[in-house]
Amino acid sequence: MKKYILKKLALSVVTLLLIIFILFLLMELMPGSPFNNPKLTPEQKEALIRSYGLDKPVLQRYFLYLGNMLKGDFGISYSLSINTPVLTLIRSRLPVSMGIGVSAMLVGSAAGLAIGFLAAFHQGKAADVICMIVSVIGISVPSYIFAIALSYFVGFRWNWLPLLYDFRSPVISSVMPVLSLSVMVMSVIARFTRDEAIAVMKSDYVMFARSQGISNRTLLFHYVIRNSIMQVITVMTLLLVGLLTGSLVTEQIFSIPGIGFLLSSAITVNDYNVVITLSFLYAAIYVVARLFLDILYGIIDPRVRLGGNER
Amino acid sequence: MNTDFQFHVRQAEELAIDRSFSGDSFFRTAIKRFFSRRSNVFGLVLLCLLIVMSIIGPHLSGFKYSEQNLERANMAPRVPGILSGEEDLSGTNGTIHVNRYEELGLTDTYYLFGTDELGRDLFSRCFQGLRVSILIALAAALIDLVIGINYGMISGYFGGKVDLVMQQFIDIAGSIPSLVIVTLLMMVLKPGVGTIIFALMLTGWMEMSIIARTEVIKRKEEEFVLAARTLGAGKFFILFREILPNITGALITEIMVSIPGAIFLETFLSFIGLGLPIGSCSLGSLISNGFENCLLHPYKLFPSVVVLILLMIGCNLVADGLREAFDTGSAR
Amino acid sequence: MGDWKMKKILSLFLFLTMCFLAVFVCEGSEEGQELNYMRRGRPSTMDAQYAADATSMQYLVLSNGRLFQYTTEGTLEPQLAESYEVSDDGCVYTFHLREGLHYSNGEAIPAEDFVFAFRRMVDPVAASPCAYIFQDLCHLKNVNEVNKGELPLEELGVSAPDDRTLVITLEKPCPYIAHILALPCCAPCSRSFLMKCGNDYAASPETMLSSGPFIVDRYEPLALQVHYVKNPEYIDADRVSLSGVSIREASNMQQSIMCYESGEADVIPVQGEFAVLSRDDPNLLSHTGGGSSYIVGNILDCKAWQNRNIRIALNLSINRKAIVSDLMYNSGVAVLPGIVPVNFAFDPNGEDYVKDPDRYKEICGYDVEKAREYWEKGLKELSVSSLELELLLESSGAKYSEVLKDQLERALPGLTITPRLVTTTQFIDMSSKKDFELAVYVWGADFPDPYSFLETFESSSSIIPAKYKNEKYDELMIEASLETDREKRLQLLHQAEDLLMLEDAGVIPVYSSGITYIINEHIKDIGSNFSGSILEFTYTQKESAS
Repeated sequence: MKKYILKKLALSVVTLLLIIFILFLLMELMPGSPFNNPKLTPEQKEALIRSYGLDKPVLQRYFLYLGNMLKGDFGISYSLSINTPVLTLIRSRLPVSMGIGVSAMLVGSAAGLAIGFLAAFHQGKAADVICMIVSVIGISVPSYIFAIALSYFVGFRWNWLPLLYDFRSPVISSVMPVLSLSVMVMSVIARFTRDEAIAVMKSDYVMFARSQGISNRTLLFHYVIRNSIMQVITVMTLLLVGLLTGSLVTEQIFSIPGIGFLLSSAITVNDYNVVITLSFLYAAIYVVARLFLDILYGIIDPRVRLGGNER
Repeated sequence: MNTDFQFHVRQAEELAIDRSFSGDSFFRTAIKRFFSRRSNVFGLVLLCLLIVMSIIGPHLSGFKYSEQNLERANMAPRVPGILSGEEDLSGTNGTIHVNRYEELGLTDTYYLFGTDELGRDLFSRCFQGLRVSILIALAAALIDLVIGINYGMISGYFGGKVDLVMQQFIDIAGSIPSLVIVTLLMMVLKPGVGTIIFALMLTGWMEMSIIARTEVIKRKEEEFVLAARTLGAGKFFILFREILPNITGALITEIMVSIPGAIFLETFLSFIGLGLPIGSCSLGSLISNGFENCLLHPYKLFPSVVVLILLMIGCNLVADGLREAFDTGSAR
Repeated sequence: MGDWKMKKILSLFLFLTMCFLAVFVCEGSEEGQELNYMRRGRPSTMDAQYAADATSMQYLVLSNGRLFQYTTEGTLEPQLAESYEVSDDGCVYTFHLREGLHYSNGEAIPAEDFVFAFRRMVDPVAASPCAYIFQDLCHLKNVNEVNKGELPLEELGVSAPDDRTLVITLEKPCPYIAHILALPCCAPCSRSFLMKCGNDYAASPETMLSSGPFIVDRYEPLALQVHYVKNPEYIDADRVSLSGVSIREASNMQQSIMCYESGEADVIPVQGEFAVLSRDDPNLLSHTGGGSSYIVGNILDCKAWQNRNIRIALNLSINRKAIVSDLMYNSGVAVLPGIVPVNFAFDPNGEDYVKDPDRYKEICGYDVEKAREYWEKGLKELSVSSLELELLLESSGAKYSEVLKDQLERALPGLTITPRLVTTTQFIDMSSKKDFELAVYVWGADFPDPYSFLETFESSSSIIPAKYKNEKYDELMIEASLETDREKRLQLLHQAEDLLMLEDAGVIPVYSSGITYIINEHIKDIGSNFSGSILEFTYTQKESAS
């Protein structure tokens, strides 16, 4: 078991190092200099470039960056917010994005699980059809359309909730973003839960249990949820990563000071350090999530850690 | 025991023909299964209708999609007998009621979906945008297919060290968020259809290869492969002539799954301002443009959003149907 | 067992709902007079001496007291200064500060802190983007030498003989210096506080010191929203009636309108169709002529732009009226008659600097037939039959570029315009590397004087390079900047503009823009600078809605 976890850990670290290098090379290709003030003279620009070490060769800069990163120093922002450490920029924004992402996840998966099981238990009946129509629409409509609709009707027309995120009232003003993001989660989870639950219910042991006259509710808690929860957790973990990266437009519509908004601003002004750090952060979240799943599988299902690398 | 049970002597000709398994090929069964569900048929019809409209739509109204006419900017939709082309515009102090058609003295002109702020016909633009979006998604999916199949099949068939290295590469490449790759690429390269397809391809082929690999691993120990191997067939012959035809179902399904993803990403990129160059139009650029004006002129946002949603619903329904028909649910 | 579980889940659910409602109620209550202001853009820095863009300046104006502040009429009045004297040659200004000035932490504000702030801006080590203010706009004594590191900081033309006197020495007279001293970067900066904060200076409310009417209460770098509270230590604190101000970024017009109408914002800028629809709203505040948009070509590399006939042909084929009325909706936008907008600068008698808007009609009117004549002539001189030109713009100008392309290609047969939209960063990079053929520039004036627009065409200007070079023009501009007689100075500027427009046709002017705000009727007395790009809320009042 230990060996399995160590192996996975080592692989994750190698992955992260390679990702940093790839990101670094990509950033090298970016056009434009990070100092974009038209009012800067060429001499001033040169002084800036020198003081940030941008005139050194690529490889040297990479190791410089890597070294600093191990110390927890992600460098400073060049142009977005002059001289601010990137860590400071991210530190205040990550909790906001995380909070909204996790709440959307919770709301969405609660609704999704409910709808999914409901559909599975009434397979083929009206309830099933309605649930599935809802989930197909949920998957087909981009979350920003929901966001636009919500902010127009609920925020503007009826004036029930604030239109924009406001740090003076963070809970109330994040209701609409959470709702609009959770529709996607709800639909994916609902479809997935339904398929899994039906598969489990068709399995021999559940058939047997049912033939023994075990009630539907006991069946649900004891067999179906226990057996399909693993798959659902996998989907939920990957969805959460997707929510964090994909909430960019929603953050724009509701003016949420989160990391998605930060990334899009950093890209437009070529703020090297911010873009690299954020991309690294996203990648790291993904890698950690995968590691978590791998280890979870290893613990639950011994076949995984003994038998090769098939997913 | 059923006591009424009795034996019958069957007619000889009835015995000879097995109708339920009368040599239906794999594909015919799949097609039968596909058409047996109403939602699948609905999705397919929807998709076909949209494709037809994307071909003929831009020519129906008689206005070219790129034709500017500043004088006729912001005309509300006018449909004979249904919409009169009136709209209410509200500023911060009161609402005014306008009919731009009457102001300009146009009695015989009908912009079915209205015009945008440069006076271009939104009907033509909507379906032109649909065409561009479909083409982009299709091109991206096909390129994905070619790269993904080769990568996945080679990885899966050879196994061992080759597989390990190839899978490790996918692990690493797949850990970089696609959003980051795509946005960086769109900035490095000139914006255009080619760039967007390239960016979609870079992030899309991995999923395709994973499907191909799983399918190959499933099939490579089956009897027909063993038979071919015993007969002395080469590795690539087995891979492309023996295995490939057998996993087409899974791959077609995966194409249908990746198309909505590509359309999604295109609209998303346009929305954050990294989409196609100006002048050209796609669903994404129409939606982001419509969104900027939807408070005053909701008709600018409405058609493109509806078309996008219908397209997505069509694709998703067909993809679901195919997955069930080919029974590749386990692949995802 | 199942029932018990259900009860547990149900009670948990109820508990969560209660919590949520509690937060709902708590958050709903808000006390005092809070002003909510929305505008485009985010502050790039809260360190006043690094703020070179209008957005950052707007955010800093509230918490930084300067020698002059903006009044409700768009003019200036002393803020921290009591009085000042000018020497006869117009080069030495002596300011007397008011008595009893304090920072928000209770420490006194000595004149030495102004000196420290000015030196920070030109310090070559600090590399502040604000150095241009003293290099290009008003020429502080020894500024270039100090900025290059050739002279020590102490040689800069600013000194504080005592705690309440500040002396500023210029190389050339600068009649509009008050406008420059009203910029927030010219606010005092406490050296001891800066040293104490080190690298964290101005990164959070704790490391900011206020010398103005408000204190930054909530801020994080690159904030979408900044919240201020009243500064009790401010010298005129008893005249400040707002208890707090919230400034936040609006990502587009529609968002601000929605927030204004639902009561979430009190002050918003309006443009385009909304401005036209609301033009009769009594709550509008309009400023005209602060910015101009024009097209220039790369005179060094672009063969077509080097030809005067082609330049005139391009100039004559743009229908500026259509752009202004149908694309920009006339909202504070006007046709740009020359390089200086109408209604922008006035001579000593109060008359518009632009005396005759049709003065350059021969060159930049709208006349397709004449344009085609020039076009044919130009093509013959270049001995080509068609031309392909790339037009560089910032990505915000997508619509604009489509219209320009359409108009130019329709008027001039054989012309193909390829618009190239890039981010602001790329735009600046490409234009400073001279990597373009035609480019659309948008320039906002720093002070209400024609010089602000005309200086960008000097060959030494660091602002927009590689587009125009004429020694006579440079001479006229230098002569004008040394001239102390205002009438004569304006005449020299007119001559320079004639040279640029008539003789050389070195630029394609398109439109001039302004800024319009809608202000909630309960809000009174908002100050602003001449162009309306910066608002001041020192004496603003908000009547309660009831």
